Amino acid sequence: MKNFNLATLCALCFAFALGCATDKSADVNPNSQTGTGGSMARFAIVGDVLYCVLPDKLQVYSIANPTNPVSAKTIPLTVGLETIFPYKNALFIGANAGMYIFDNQQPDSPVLLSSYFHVQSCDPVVVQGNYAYVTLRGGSGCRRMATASTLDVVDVTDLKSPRLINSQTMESPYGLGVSGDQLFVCEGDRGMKIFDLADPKQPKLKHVIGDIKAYDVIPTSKSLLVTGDGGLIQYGLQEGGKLEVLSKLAIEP
Amino acid sequence: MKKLSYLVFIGIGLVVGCQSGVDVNEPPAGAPAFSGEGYRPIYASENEVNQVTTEAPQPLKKPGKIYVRGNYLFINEQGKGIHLIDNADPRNPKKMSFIKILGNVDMAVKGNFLYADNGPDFVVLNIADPTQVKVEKRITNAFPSPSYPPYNQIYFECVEASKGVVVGWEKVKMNRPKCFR
Repeated sequence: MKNFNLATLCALCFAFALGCATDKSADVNPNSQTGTGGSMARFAIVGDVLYCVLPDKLQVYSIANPTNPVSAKTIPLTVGLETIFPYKNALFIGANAGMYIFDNQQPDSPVLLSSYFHVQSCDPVVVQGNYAYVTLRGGSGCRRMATASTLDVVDVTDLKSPRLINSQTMESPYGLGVSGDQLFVCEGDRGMKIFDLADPKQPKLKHVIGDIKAYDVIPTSKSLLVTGDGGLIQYGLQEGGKLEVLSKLAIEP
Repeated sequence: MKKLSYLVFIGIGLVVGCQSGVDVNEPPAGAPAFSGEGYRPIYASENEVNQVTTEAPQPLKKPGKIYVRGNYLFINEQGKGIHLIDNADPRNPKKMSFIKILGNVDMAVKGNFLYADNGPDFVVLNIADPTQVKVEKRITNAFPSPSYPPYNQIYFECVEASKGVVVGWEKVKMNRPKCFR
């Protein structure tokens, strides 16, 4: 099983490295020109294009000339846009009313394929394979109707018709990150939860790091970066999915 | 006697009516009661916003978003700028510099260029030398600053444009402010 996980991870890394011209996970290749942000990011670069998510529109800049961004397209959407996650030939935009999926085979001219609406919430999204993982945070800071917080799995096999296939209750989820068969979900002051994705349709909680404050997470090939009110912590992924603290950059009040 | 009770009755009616009529502590419909803390805009002048400078490494105080590019790690200091970190060895990340960018929240990097919001402006920074970051381009008012903080169900001091550009929000103790969202 351990070997299988490792092999899966390696295969994924390899796939990402191959696909990195258009892939968000470009950071897996340290020589890549473009970096990667967390799931809470509003800016993202794909090729020669920079996407900026404004509260009410998607602003597309051409950075073919890197020192002179030129507005290529402005796409007005409903208010409450929050995050952007490029994956393969698509853009997943999290809004507090739902999620938009764009085709971006032509990066400077994304085309809206579908939108997935649910109750109003804060919802960063990450994608791997055919599944999008979305956290919906209830509570006064975010959702007007204080309902439960959840981690949702949305089947995006058909980008034109996303389908909710799994939903589980969370405490106070913020950013999230996915890498191979592990899904990392930040729970604010309540730490970070690690889910097993052996079945990508049904994340299974396997470990909780409760003694940290986690706001967003970026899995890279070298380390897992977790940020929050306490500072930045980097973890190394050990065999069997265990996490080892590599370093901390603590806050200095 | 009857007159007196009428008067008392009217008197009570007036007091009750006044209380519910002018009570500023009554929360807006559907809003939670004011907790004593609200959000206050942090203002800067246009001139201050334009000053993007490279400074010596600084302590992390209120880290926001993070961004990774190769061996570099970028940590946003909410509303203040970006910590540039050499993360070649994740066991020993080294702060290289702090780029002061007022109003900064978001960033993305390609090659030697860092794209960031600088209050309402959009700036392109050359980070080839992390100790001497250069502004290559400034697009003014690319991200018009909203007149409210990025949270819901909260009370905040209304923005007064005459005070300058809003480069952030701080949560402080205050009397109940007029604005709510």
